[in-house]
Amino acid sequence: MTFDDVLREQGPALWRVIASYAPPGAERDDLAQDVLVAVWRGLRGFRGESSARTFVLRIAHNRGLSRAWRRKKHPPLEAEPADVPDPRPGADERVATRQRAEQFLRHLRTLPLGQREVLSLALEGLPHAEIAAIAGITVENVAVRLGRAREALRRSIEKEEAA
Amino acid sequence: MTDTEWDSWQASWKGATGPLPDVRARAHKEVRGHRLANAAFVLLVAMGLAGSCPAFADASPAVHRIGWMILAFCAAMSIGYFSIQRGIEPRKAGNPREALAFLERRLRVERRTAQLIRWVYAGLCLAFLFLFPSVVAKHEAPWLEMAISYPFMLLTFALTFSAPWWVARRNRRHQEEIDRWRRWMDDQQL
Repeated sequence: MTFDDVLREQGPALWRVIASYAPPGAERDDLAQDVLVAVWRGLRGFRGESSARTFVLRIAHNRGLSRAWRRKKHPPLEAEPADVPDPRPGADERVATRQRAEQFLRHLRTLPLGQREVLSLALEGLPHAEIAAIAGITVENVAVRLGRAREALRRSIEKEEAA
Repeated sequence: MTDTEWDSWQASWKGATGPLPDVRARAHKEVRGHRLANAAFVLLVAMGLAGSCPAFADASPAVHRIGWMILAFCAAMSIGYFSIQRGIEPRKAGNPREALAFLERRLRVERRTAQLIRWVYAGLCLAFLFLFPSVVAKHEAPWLEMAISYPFMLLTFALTFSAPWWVARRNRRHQEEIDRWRRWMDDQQL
């Protein structure tokens, strides 16, 4: 499997994982660089013990967690940028979809990392066994975390809608 | 949790997409850096070996012993370097707890490396202490040469023999960092 194959097949999923850890802007760009370099280097040692998707998503999550740890130690000076609605009249459907997605990602980023990881992988459509392999937990634990994550995400969305 | 809600979340999730940066240049640069580090080590060993050649060309058996000492030093450092590196490679895509275990393993390797440096240099200094007088015995001012060389030898001995102490001191901070990281992972339900 080449790096180009990974980008073609897993690129969108990688981008979403990155976005679940970093807000738009320089921080997301930096994380994207880190993740892709790690994937590029990791591919040399890929022996096919798991699927390519499991392999690259695990790398992406690990890099995201490392970044979150560094961010906790050295919080950025600037607050996370708020979503700015497109002021142009008749903004097309793609822009609206993107804004919805960013809003959703903002809610997702409020969850504890353990829940966020499991929920993002479930949203990606991975079965519980594959999520367990990536997160390094049991399948039962995946189900428990997923339940908590869904609850927390719903509360976050409802809170914003009520405000 | 309704299917509609989940479908709506999944639609929002899948709608999130964007361009990824091209990292080939950076990745190639990092690989080059890694290769350069290995090449630098091999070059240093090669220079050490080359340095032993004139010693073997000399007629004096005392100088020959210096050559053997250099060879023994290069061999000890090379064997130590490669045997210590073996088996510490992290799993390329382990989970975060495995990554922490890898960091702890690396700290252990650093402690072993410090021990290796301590004893290899101690042997080197000891050999130097006994061999050097016989090497300079027939020179014009052997005492002057020894007066210049021995302080440097003592300094090297002090620095390298204390290596395990200052590595342990630095590793304590790293271990505390790892412990804090582990507690944070517990908080984050990882």
